[in-house]
Amino acid sequence: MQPYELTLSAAADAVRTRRLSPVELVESVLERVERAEPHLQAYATVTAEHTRRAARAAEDDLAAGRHRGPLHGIPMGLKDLIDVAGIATSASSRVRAGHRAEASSTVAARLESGGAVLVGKTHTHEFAYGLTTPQTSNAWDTGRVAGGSSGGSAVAVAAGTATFALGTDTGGSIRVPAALNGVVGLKPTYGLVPRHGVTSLSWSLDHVGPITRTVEDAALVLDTLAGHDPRDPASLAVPAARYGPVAGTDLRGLRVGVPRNYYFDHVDPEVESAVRDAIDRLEELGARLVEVEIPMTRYIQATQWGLMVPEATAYHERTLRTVPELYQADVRILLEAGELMPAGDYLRAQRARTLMRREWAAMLRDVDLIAAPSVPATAVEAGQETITWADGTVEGVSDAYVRLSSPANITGVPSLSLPVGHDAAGLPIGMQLLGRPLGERVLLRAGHAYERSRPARGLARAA
Amino acid sequence: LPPDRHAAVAATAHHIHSVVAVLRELDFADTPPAPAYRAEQETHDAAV
Repeated sequence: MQPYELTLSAAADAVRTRRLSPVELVESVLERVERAEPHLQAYATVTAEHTRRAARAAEDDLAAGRHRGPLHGIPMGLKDLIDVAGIATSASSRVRAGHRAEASSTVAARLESGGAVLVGKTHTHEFAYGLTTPQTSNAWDTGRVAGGSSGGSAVAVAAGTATFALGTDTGGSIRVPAALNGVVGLKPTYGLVPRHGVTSLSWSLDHVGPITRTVEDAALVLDTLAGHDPRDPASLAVPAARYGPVAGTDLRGLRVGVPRNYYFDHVDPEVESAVRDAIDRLEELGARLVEVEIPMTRYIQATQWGLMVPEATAYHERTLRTVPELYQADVRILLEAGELMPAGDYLRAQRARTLMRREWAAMLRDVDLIAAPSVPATAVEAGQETITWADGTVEGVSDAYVRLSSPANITGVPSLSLPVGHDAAGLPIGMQLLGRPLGERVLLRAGHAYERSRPARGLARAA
Repeated sequence: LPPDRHAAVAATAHHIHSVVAVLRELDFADTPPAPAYRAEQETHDAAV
């Protein structure tokens, strides 16, 4: 096994016990980048020179007896919406040409002080406003979409060109590409991870979180990311909690909600079957399955759009006036159309969110978590615009990919996506576990237990 | 907006409107919008 193939936990262990040096680990990942990037285009920028310098510094620290924790010397990718001082935050957009971040975002600063080493900035669907990331190829089949908007981050982690990465999630942008590339993605509770220094798509829906190869790895990264920062007005002032390491595989006493509506409607049969098998596995591990009714499903898409569309347009108001031609066509038209949404629609969406949060809180009193597919279909071919379901219904690819993930953005509840198998074409299938606000530990425990009951997964080999 | 974009933008806006219009069915009674921030938390932060 090469160092680039190691999970974060395994690499951290090897670094801590001096069996592997940060320089060896980083060189292995950079070598993998050189081989895989021409096929995948996961990165907007690779900071190789900076990366090697940081790896040597991490090694010097270890030699001097300074070990910063589990992220010490671990190579990471950051979605290119996340500011790192002195480097461009391109948002994968021509609008940001010549950009240079003055200061690091809270999350980048926390990871750096934890000893993580930046490999580069990963591609996003332009300004995170889309679900495919067209610049980047799926790590399992380069003819298929990466998913988005954190497509570059998920592909890098799946292919071994980063040991972990960060994404952002406004309607599913961490969990969708994580599911489509067979890796783990965590959208934490709204406000748990500060967004200061992260380009916004929609302030009231945006989240930052880890993309990793295992659930345990996600817990280790969350430990470093979580914690109050007053510079993000949504940041929660909750007492510090430990998320990793995740111990135990006994799920006795855990009540797992299985949706009887919404989450299994218009879902590919192979996806449904893999997710139901995974839910059965949770039961075998001791969990009790409880059927739940998802509330207000008729209003999910309306609420998501009613919040996101005007907030995104507001963020881009100035550049949409001065340089509209620099946006990609799909993003430009959404931003322009957003100017035509009345304030009444936005307020109705905010009031609908109040109702929905209330109803979800009531539902989550009866169960500890809910298990459901992350996305209704595996990765479609690049350029495919619609999915036709068995009953003849035609749905846009982006609408389908966001459909099952956006409820967690509207309500702010945490959602963990983890791989639960492959379809007949060999493409990964993801299951999401949704919990109560600040219930990350419950999700990580259940996800870890499931993962431990399955054989270890290898890296994606399309490139 | 340049004249050559009016039709396409109007069509997209119309589609968005048709999606969000369903919220008019809800009886919100006294339900307030979900808060974007909490004043007391900011005061607390300022003290820290």
